Amino acid sequence: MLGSTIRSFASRTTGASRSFFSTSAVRKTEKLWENPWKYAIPEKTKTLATVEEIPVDWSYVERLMPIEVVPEVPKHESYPTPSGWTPPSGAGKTHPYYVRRRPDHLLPLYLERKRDLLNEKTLDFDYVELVTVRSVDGDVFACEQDLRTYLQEQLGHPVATHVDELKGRIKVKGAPRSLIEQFFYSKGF
Amino acid sequence: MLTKAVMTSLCATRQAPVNVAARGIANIPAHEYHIRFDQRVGRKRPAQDVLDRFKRLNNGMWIHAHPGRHKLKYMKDETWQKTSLYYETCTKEQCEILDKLMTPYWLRQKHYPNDPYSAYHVRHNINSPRVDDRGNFVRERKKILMDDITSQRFFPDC
Amino acid sequence: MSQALRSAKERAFQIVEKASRIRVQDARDNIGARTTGRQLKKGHNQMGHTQGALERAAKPPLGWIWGDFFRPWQRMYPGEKLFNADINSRREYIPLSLIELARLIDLGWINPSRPIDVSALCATQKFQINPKIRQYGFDLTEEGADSFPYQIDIEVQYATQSAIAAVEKAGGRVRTAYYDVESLEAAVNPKAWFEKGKVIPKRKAPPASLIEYYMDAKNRGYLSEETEMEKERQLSADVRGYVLPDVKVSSALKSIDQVFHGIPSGSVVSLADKKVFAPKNELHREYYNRQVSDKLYS
Repeated sequence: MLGSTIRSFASRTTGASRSFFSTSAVRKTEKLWENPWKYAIPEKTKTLATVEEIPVDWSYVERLMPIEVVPEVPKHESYPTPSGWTPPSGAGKTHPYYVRRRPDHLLPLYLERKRDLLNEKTLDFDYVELVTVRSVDGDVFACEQDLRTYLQEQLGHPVATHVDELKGRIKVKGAPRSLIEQFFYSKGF
Repeated sequence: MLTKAVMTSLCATRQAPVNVAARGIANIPAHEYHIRFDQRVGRKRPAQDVLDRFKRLNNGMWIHAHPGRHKLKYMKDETWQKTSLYYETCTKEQCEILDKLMTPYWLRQKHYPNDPYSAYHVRHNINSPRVDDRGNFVRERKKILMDDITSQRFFPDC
Repeated sequence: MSQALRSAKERAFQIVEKASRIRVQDARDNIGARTTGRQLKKGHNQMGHTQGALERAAKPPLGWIWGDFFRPWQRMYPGEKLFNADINSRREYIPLSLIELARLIDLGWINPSRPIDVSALCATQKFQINPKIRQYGFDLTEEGADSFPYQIDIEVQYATQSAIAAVEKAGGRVRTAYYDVESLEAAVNPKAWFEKGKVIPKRKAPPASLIEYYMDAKNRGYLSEETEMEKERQLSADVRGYVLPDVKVSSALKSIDQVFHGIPSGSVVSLADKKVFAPKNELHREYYNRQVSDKLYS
């Protein structure tokens, strides 16, 4: 807009005197100073991005999406699998209790740390590690009994257990989690 | 005839101040540069002194170098020459304090390939609990979908 | 009776016995019964700092044991550059052991018939890779290398020699590939990347310190020659003493600047429309169709 006003001014000042002898050819070659803005700033061209569709196998995109649901375990010929995993066997249904597996297909054993008594020598709290067995259905006390006898037999020292029948939980103190896993695998859970 | 340098020194009337130490980071008390809230982000910053002098291993242990290991080596015996280059571990209280001076990034377990400290991220024969109050392993690495029997067979840090 | 054994009561009784009848001076205060407060020297009649001043003052740092402010115990040890000085140039990798990989395949999280890369591993949501804190991908480690049975086509960012040997012994294929920060961000969370409408990036060349690693056939680098790799495979089989089975893996390798299998770089994926678009602009096409990627340090 400014350019056009300058042009009009220019034409009014110089063009008026030139109009006597001006021919169309002279007027056509515009000088640099007549429209300085046009030559100072480079010409801006806009291109809108045009896209086209590419044929792509959509399964390649599907497999990139995060897995939201725990996948089903594929069928293996023999168990334990190469990584050492065993599914629950039929033997688990023969007992008066049942330990359900986690949605991850692993045993429901959890570690927790609980504060123990104050150590008088170091004036620091001692901490103790407990193993919790969570999804126990049926006769929880029988499960606890069997577990305790097995652990005491294997370890040689007494282990402390606590049963919460309503929640179906057993807490064990003094036994490593690997031994408790061994017990439940041997029972077929 | 006295040299020019001696003349100038004799004629010098104004002495430069001797004991004015500039107030650089080394000379201000630590409570003034231990930043609790960063101006830009508002989060805590780790103590740079600690990062210069200590290293944290993945199992929570901190190590440091021995003070004076480069000093007066000519006076020291063979055993010192060897042991001065060793790194030393910190006590339990020191480790706790150093952990508090750090931000959560520095307390993460980091894995580098070809790490010279890879053998030291594992501690053996420790009987204290493997988990902390939140249920995360303290000295070990998080294993994906593993039960303890397989972990103990394959991983050295169980 | 001796003086020392007299109790307070007896002493008091003695005094009262010997005392005269009550006079005015007996009703006066004893010495020290009443004291007027004295003005202490510090401000606000507080000896030392006021409560408010103590609350508002800068507190000494944690672990400061009484002594010099300028020399707390954590500064009494010498500095060691090898400890943390290079933290901003170190590259962290997430460890992935062969036993964990086997467990993921066993439980169906990963399909061994499809090629396994960073995106496939991150799709399981069992791993957290954050490119912003200098994490550059996966490191395949050898826990569980003795009995790894699956035939897989895996692409990681770092691998130990034992892990490579174990995978090849089972008949699989290993490649180490470099993902720069932007490509890794796309590969680790493709869903978020597509939802933002961002263009799929071209994988840039590794920086100078890593280019040797990825050009070495010993590490099965993606930039090394196929013939060299065959030689190295045979060599590791001879050295470790196993028979090299035929590689039955048939899927094509990614090109050196491709981030996802089957989707070209430079395109935009629309999850809502279930379509993939690419711009028609010549410059854009030329840039993304060139096989040689940018030599940008990252």
